[in-house]
Amino acid sequence: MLLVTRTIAGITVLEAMRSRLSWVALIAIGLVFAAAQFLGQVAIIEVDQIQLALMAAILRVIAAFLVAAFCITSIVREANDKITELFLSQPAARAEYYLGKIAGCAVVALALAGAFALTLAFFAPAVGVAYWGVSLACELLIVAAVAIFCAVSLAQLTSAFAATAGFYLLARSITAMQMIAATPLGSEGPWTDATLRTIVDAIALAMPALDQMAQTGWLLGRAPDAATFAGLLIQTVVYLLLIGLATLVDLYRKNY
Amino acid sequence: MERPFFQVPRALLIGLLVALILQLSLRSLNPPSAPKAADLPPPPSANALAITAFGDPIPLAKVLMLYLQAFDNQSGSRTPYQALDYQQIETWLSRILQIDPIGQYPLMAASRLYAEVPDEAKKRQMLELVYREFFKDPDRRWPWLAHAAALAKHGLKDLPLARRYAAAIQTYSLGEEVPLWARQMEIFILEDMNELETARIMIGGYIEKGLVKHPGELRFLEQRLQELESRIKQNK
Repeated sequence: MLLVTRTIAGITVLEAMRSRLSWVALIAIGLVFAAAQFLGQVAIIEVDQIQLALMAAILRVIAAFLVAAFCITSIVREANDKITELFLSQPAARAEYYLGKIAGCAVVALALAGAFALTLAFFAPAVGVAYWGVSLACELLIVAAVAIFCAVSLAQLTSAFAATAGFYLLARSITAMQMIAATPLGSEGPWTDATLRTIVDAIALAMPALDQMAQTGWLLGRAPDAATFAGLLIQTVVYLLLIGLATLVDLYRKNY
Repeated sequence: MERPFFQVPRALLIGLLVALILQLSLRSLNPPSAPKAADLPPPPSANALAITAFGDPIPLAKVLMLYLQAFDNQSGSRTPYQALDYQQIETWLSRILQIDPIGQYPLMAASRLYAEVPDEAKKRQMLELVYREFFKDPDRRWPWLAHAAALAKHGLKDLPLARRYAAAIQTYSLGEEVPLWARQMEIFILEDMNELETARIMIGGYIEKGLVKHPGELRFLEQRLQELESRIKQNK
């Protein structure tokens, strides 16, 4: 089992290297760095903080975009080129194929998180960068798992990417939505407010806490407490398990 | 065609169910905290908002209004309006109006929500905000000033203030869509202030200039004019 999984993971990492993902990441780092320097020239005070905050926020979104784009194109391309069918025709379980893909995508996600965190290490204290980097890695792992799930389920590039992007935006904004739903200003009636609140709360329960991950404040010297950080790590494990099993259920139901 | 669920390994389905329960439990242990009144920061500058808006400020204004809304609570009273810093509220509302002058939400919030607190100073502050902003678009913003006039009359019992607001509507809101009742508010406030002569002159002016077209309204005003004249006679 390990051999098949390792082979697929290796092929996925090789694909990432050959698709020049590392160059794209480097160019992104360069552009973000240049933009931060420009804005640093404009700022009068807190120049370092402004540069760091902007770099961290933009790099975070770029990392999520790159991971999602890579995972989706990889899965969809393999499906279109019948490579998935070739893999599945081997004497190996479908779970092995999935584990290989998620492992390969996880390596890409971890490499990106490492590279982006290393960039910020030039500007922020090491402890803060470590927290931020680990948290970003967790976020990217979840994004990778969701992107694979969407690609396997929808099997179309555009729809899979739209679904992943929608998921990411929702996960980042669901807490704000809960706050808004909990403080109604309208006068539609108590049951309407209660229904809306229940729906939003139910959606929030099914979403990972991405809005609490990779906080810029951690880079600026406000490190998270151990319980908060441990909670984020547990959240990552649980969500990877959930999405991974959901993908497997979908994969086992597919006819090739 | 997909295979039916029973063909999926049972361990997988059980695992999925367990993972789902774990996720739901984990998230329900960590509910979001409601914002506190003291947490409301000052709004970003207009320039900062222009940069953030990427050339399209109206969606940003709508989001900012919802953000501001998250700092208070009508029914749950976790953060009653009067606990909010009204100076900040005023700045936020003005800033939102600045980037979205067409939007009516900020003035609605000022006149109908933030002004309806038991604190008189805060009430007046919001009414004055509505009054100031009214002049930038009198034909569209009159409903909020009309509500402000009603609040000044009934809530604050400040008839001169109510008259000032009503007079502003009467003088500046001249669009065809502005209803006559809004422009006539000043007359009724004058009656309440016992300034019957001025009210009589105003009603007479309306009728003479032919501003009242609807026969029902005309009849009502003529009747009102007669009542006023008889009250003036009685007072003499």
